[in-house]
Amino acid sequence: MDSETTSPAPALDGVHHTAFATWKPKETVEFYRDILGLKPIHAITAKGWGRESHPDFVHFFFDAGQGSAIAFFYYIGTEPMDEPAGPRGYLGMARHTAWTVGTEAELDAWAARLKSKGVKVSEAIQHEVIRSLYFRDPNGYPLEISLTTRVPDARDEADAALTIQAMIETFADGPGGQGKTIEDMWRRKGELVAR
Amino acid sequence: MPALYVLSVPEFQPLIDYAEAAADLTVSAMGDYRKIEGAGTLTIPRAATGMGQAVWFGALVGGFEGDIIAFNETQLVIGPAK
Repeated sequence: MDSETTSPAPALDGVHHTAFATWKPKETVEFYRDILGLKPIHAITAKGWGRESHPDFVHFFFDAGQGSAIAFFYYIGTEPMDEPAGPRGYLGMARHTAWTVGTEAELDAWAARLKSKGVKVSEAIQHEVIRSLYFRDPNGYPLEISLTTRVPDARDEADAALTIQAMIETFADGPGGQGKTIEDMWRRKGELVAR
Repeated sequence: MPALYVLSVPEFQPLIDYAEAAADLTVSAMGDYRKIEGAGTLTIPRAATGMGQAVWFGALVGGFEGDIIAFNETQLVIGPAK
């Protein structure tokens, strides 16, 4: 192995921004700025640049706390592009933005605010280590606000490593799972835990 | 003998608590995990654990031995491997 693979990876310091396409600039601004109350902190406008097919665009950013932002591209004059599987398809379901809050009171305050602004929001769902509210933006993008209820520790890290090992030993990359099931993966996990 | 491995963390503790109190189940420690075993079938009713669905449906993450006979919102039943 060369030094690039043997030396530790440089650290990341959190999310700067994630970006999404929108064809509803007004509704998007009204949702993030006025309903969620996220301050617009930066906006870029550009005509073309480089490739002929690159549309003119507005790229605008909302402050999501701790130096992170959620951003949008409005591609001027383009037809709305189908999301790879649609906002309610599996890709739109899996790829989501989950923000964090620091206290139970803040999570409750978000639920109350979203409801008061007419946003359809889930009840708070308790997962293993977080409790989350779920809702969608006007583009259909899934959003989540989470409170950490238990900070994962070394046990969780070791367990995750075994689950991931069981997953990649059970399932090959590609469609369909090659006839393997989650039961096969759980059995493999059991073997890994037992040894 | 059907077995369920449970990571010993607070959110899965209700599974361990149920098994420790159940006459037909045994619990043994294996590092950070607990191994729950049943002589014939291993049955855990969700209502008895008080677990919400989002965590309940992750209850097999620690792995198991045997065959899953039922795993739904009301119970987990693991039988011997066929």
